[in-house]
Amino acid sequence: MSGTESGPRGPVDDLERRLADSLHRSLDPLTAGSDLTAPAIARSRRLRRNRAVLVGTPTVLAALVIAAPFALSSLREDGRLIDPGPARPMVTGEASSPRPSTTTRPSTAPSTTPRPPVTAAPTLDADAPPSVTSRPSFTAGTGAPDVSYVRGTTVHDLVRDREVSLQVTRGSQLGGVDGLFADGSPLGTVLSGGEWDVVIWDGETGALQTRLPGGTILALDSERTLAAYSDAAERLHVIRSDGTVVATAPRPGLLAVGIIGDVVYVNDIRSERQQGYTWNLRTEALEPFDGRFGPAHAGSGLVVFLPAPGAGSGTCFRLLDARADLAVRWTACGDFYPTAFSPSGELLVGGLGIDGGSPYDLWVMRSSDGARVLHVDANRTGLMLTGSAVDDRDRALTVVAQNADLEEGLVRCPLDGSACTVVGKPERLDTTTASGISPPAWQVLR
Amino acid sequence: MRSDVEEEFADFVRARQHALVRFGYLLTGDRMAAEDLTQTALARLYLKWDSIRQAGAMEAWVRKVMVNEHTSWWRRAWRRRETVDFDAAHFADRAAKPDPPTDDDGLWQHVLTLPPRQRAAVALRYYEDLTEAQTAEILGCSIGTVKSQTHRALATLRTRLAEVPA
Repeated sequence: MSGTESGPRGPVDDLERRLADSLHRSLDPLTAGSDLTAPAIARSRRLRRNRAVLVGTPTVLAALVIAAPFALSSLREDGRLIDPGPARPMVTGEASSPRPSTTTRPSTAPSTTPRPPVTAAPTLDADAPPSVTSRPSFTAGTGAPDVSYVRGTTVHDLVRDREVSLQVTRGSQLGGVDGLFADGSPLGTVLSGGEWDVVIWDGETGALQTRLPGGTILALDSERTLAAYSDAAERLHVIRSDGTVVATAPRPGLLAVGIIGDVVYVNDIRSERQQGYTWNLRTEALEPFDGRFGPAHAGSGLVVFLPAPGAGSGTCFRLLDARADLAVRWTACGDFYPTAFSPSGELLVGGLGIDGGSPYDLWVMRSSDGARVLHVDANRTGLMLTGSAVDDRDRALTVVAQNADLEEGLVRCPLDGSACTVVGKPERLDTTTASGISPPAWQVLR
Repeated sequence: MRSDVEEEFADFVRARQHALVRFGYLLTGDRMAAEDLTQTALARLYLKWDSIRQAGAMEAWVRKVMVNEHTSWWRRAWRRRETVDFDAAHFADRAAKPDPPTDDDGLWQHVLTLPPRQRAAVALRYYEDLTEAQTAEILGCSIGTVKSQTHRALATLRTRLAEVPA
């Protein structure tokens, strides 16, 4: 074929022509299998209904939030209340009375714990514009990370001020480091022979301490004493930093999203709606909920909950207080969907659901009042945000960013909207591994 | 009986669904995933139908949602650093088994190996025949980024075609 010539898009060369021809040849005969109108409308109505059910009329909402413990009990799938007596509607501001403990009750809410006064839990607009917007780039000024991070296979533990090089055996590659236990032991995954194994390393020497074959890490207790992982058969286990299995879920298919005290918040991926359960490690009881759980934070006792139907679709979510029998703090309706708490529990980090969960955006929301404080917008710079962590003082969000050249680096964006800085120099990912999966160049540890 | 809004939406879907599914196929490399992706984007469009219809940018908005949604799937499945997600695993599995290419030079297979944004840029530029400005609008980036992503995609394709002669 000849070289470059001119076309409607400007000069085109042989490859561009071949590419256009090839795409048309491959795709032109393809059509939708059926009319997509009805299924699209049905799915859309499900999303809308979820929002409507949650917001309801002002009267319904008032009743819902004033009798908050009752409202949450009604979310339990079987409609059974913890206290089977009639729910006593409370006047706003009146303290709810403690109820007797039962065997299925989360141990984090003992009957002797006085409940805070129940006030009207507001419904918030999760679409509200953020206070500030930051635009990370790899050409910004440079600085140093203020969160613990991993570069290659070296963990930089800022809490203990030490660096640990992780042992990765020959023929294996690092999958990722998911966090550090309270004693500093890193917890992560390695990829070996096509299998993902859960691994715990020694926090001082980096030596491989425990290897649990065929697993995926799902959640680390924010007090850093317990972790949940799912094995190859989708069976959920809770382990300590020495690898000891504390408990194994009564049935497969449960994925942990958070741990608070003795209670693991799980979702059943084998159910159509990924139904949520609390799994009490002390009593081994599984209690179903009519919805799906999101991240949980042990220090603050907060749990994200997405009521069914349409759970996980980014329409509405609730923030529950595990210390007050999962009473509703507030409900947020809009596009924002949280994926993690900050270490303090004061902030929620997440993205948007409704426009496709763009990996080029992150939002930070205040957990006390649902205010959106920061939008990290990497669309213009084309950086895909593959990880994030807020520092201990809630001052900045550090993101793992990847550009179109498959370079990965760390960028720190202060929550006050001041300029982002590069805190981890972009490095090219290794795309030549036998597994076809690139080991991470940089990671941040929550 | 359908409301006017539903009729308008149905008209749009019927007119554009095949093109959107093709675009979804270009992104995912799998017919079923392409339909799922299209349906997801259309459901979101219907939620915001009034405001987006008034802006007159329905198709561009849907394509933008499809690009974002697909990049999200790809990101989760590829890095496996996040919590296991049923949908992601489901689609990753599908994506791993693309339909056989119908072209004879393997170019289509190579396109499927491009990173998601580069693939989207290639799809919009060389299949949809959009301008760099239109492509930038859908990808939510600058024209310069479209140029660089397209350039990188073409460079990768040239290298791969040279490695495995057609």
